[in-house]
Amino acid sequence: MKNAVRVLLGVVTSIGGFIEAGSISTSAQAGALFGFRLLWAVALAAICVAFLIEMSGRLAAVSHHTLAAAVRERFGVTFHIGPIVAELLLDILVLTAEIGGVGTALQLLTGRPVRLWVLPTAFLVWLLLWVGNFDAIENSVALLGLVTLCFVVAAYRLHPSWPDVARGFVPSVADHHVARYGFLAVSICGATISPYLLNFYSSGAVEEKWTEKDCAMNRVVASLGMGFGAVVAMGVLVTAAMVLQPRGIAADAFSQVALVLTPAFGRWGFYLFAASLAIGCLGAALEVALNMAYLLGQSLGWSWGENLRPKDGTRFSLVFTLAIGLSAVLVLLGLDPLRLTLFSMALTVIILPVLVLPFLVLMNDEHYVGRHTNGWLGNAVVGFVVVAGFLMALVAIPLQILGGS
Amino acid sequence: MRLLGVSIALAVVACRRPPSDVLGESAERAHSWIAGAEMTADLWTSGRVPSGFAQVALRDAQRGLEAERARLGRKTEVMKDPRVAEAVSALDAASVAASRMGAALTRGGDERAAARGEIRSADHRIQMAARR
Repeated sequence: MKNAVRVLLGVVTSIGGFIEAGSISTSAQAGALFGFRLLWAVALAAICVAFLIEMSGRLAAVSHHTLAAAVRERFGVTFHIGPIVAELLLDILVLTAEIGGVGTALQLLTGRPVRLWVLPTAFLVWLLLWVGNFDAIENSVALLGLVTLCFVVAAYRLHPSWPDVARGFVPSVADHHVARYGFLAVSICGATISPYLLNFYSSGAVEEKWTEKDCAMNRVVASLGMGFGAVVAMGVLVTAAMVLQPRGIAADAFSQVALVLTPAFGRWGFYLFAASLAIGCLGAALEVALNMAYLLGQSLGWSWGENLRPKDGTRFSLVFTLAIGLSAVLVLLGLDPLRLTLFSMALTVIILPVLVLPFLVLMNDEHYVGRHTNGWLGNAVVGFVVVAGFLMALVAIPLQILGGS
Repeated sequence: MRLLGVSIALAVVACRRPPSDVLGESAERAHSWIAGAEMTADLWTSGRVPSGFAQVALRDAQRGLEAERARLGRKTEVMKDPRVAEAVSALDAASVAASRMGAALTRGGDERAAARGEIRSADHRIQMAARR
């Protein structure tokens, strides 16, 4: 019974934590511009991230190492510097986009400018991290995040043509705006396979003291949680395809995306959208800020952990404090959250191979995962992510220029 | 670094597009902003979105249209094309109309209807210029 509750809670938190600024904006743009045709990209990215998340949980459960700590120990500090710097830079961009996302949601609700909400949002994120513990933060925000299931309900209520939806799962080439199509496919992968998720998940497993016995639960949570989370992202895409595409609205601003739920829910639709955006971005901001502190703490050998009191982990607390402060300044300087989100999602795929390749080695090293080394399928998926990430990295810059604006 | 250079060079070469392509893309973006503004106005009129949001959405539409106008204005080589000049003039009119729609939210229905008429007419002009 206890295990069933843990699994259920894990799945629920994965669903609640799946949707944030990146997945909302990329899925909405994909639906608005290409109808159901990019559903395959969401599905493919979800399968890849479910495998990667399961592996990071398995690594933590068996070796009691987080991903960053294991990479540092196995490959040495010198090798580790490049990936760490790349991930920290990316995390700052994502954190900026998420804080801006909360600000945008509050702007939509009140009509007051985003800048007005940046400092209160940053303070709230910081306060929750300062006073909260890992379970409280993860469970409360992710449970609130279940509001994002409204996109799935909306997709159902809008009565899409299900055969057309099914055809969207077959990869196809766009007949118009090819560069934009490619850019969005890459961005969807970047939004879904967020590098921060891997280290964050393994850090959470270490904080919650997982053991080898938790491997089965980890497998269920990773696959069901990411699977259901992807269904929510697909709900955003289908809803945008049904509401925005027929009107020729390209979802170039969150104020356009905010219209997608109104046909299904009337007046409540707008508030559901704003709540989904605010809660999703708040949850992601907490996770990214925490991950930056985890990453540095684990890489530099500091005492780390969200369950530590700030005075027992001063450098750990200082990192998330500085990260939140820097991101708030970047939003205040006028960086557009939506553009920043799309840019950082494309950037993710550029650095993804560098971050995932060491993972492949670790997951085949019996010193770390004992008898739980990867099977052929797991290796094939990680190999696919590395190769696909490398190929996407090659085209990401031209696509950013041609299709990203 | 070489790979990065090749990628950027490919992108730069591909960016040199004829005026009709540039105009077609701008017309599509402009229509997106105008359609968004119209949908927002409809939802506000039926009481399904609050005034604060409607103001934000209409301001975004106005800024989007201004950005589109500026984007076309920066490309001196396409500005010589009379279709582009017509589209730029219509984009100006559309951004003014979006601004008037925002201001008209708190005023009478006649003023809102007039602003809607203006923005639709501007959209028509932009689409016609792109199709010519």
